[in-house]
Amino acid sequence: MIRVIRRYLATLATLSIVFALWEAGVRLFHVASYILPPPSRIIVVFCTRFPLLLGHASVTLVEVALGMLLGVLGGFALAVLIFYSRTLERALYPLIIASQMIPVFAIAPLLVIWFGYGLWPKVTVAGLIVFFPIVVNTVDGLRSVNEETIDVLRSLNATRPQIFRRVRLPASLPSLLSGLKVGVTLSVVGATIGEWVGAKSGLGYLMIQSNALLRIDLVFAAILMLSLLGLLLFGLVRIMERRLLRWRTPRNQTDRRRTT
Amino acid sequence: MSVRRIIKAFSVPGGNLPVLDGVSFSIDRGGFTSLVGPSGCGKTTLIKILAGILPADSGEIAVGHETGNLRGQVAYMPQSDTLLPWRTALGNALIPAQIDHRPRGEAIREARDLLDRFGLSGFEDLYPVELSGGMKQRLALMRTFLSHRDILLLDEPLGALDALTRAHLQDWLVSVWHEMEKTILLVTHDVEEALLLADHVILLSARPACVRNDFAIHIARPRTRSDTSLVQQKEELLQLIYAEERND
Repeated sequence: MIRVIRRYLATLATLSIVFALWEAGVRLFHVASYILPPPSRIIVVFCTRFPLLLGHASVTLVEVALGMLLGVLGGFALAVLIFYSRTLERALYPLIIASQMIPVFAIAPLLVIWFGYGLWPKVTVAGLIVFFPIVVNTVDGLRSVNEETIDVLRSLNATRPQIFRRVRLPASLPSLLSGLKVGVTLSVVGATIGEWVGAKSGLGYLMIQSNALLRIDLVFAAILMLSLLGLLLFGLVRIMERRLLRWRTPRNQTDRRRTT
Repeated sequence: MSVRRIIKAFSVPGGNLPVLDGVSFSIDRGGFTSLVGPSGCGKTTLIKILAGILPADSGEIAVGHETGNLRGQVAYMPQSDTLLPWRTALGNALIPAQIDHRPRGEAIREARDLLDRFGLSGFEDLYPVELSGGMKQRLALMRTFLSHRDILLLDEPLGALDALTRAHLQDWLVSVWHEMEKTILLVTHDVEEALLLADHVILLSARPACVRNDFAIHIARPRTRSDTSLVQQKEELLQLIYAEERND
């Protein structure tokens, strides 16, 4: 615990300074709390309304989790198809890249029209956002294999599925996880946008509702909750990465690395 | 194994680049053969054809009475580091067994038995990033030996090592070859290495390559680098290679 605190000491110090200046500024200039509430008030609201926030956060979490699952599965499957088929690569890859010029947020209202106010428009937005970094990174990962490694397996008469399972798949994992790290934070944003456009619950919904009622303190409390949610998911990917990619850091040299 | 009139050309922008121009030789079962030649002459191309990874334009390869593609019948160790970084030393050694669907328990036992001989005991659970260059090459060699193939094609297996490690592994490789009773074809650019290890040296010409010289080495084993006849043959062989490079 002490080590964790020490590691994030600088971050905590920065946050404290920002909050102190904020608090002082709001009090000094008598800013109305419906315009900018002081951080102390946000924290109080965060604590007193915690059950409410948690309820909405769980809705958003489910949307993000489902979106990520679909985005990762779809993105991975498509990356494999693109990797193995030149035709599909030519047919799809440019379109997938071009599709990224369309802001996903612009189609969020359409998704509400098509799928209603429920879970699925948000899942779709979150999924679409995760999808792209997964496809691009996985294709790169599958291509990253040293051709001579493949040669060794081919000389042993390995089949293509064997080469995929034993070499290409594990080789693509580091870049897939990098894609996931980018995707996970963006997908929280995606789900929130989906909730802004039309929803009955979720942190995005809470923000829009509180905003309309000039409960800016609750808006900020929801933002705080959203950041914590993003951090949690990012942390989970980091843990996954560390467990799955243990082989990248030499254990007998970790100490030396840390000091240099 | 006999190789007859292998011809291979690569298509490059602006035409064909002939690489192998009728390469023929044969090697004895259980022998240690070195393939030397000027750099860029097509040694790696030839060994890839022998491994069945690259098709030849024409020519024939035969092992015993069987002719045709040798894929799956010979073990190939390329020049670059081809260990799987996400597998431990033991995991890497198990790859051939997994590809061949051999029983896992038996494969593990067999690999463990070899660890000591390959100077890797105690390191079986380490990942390649945690191993030294010499250990990685020994592990790659061990994996090649564990393929259960009789013929091993080694492309510059010691090329990337420092001189001292290299000298150690050269001596070690000879002793392992004696014990394991394999047929080895070793590609090297190092003439001394060829003479030190092999009982048969094949000299390729400059590209497009054909066999320029093919001779047995009768120096008694164990050989030393300072052996007078070895030093003399090294000088002769180097002169032949320089002559090839000038003709190029």
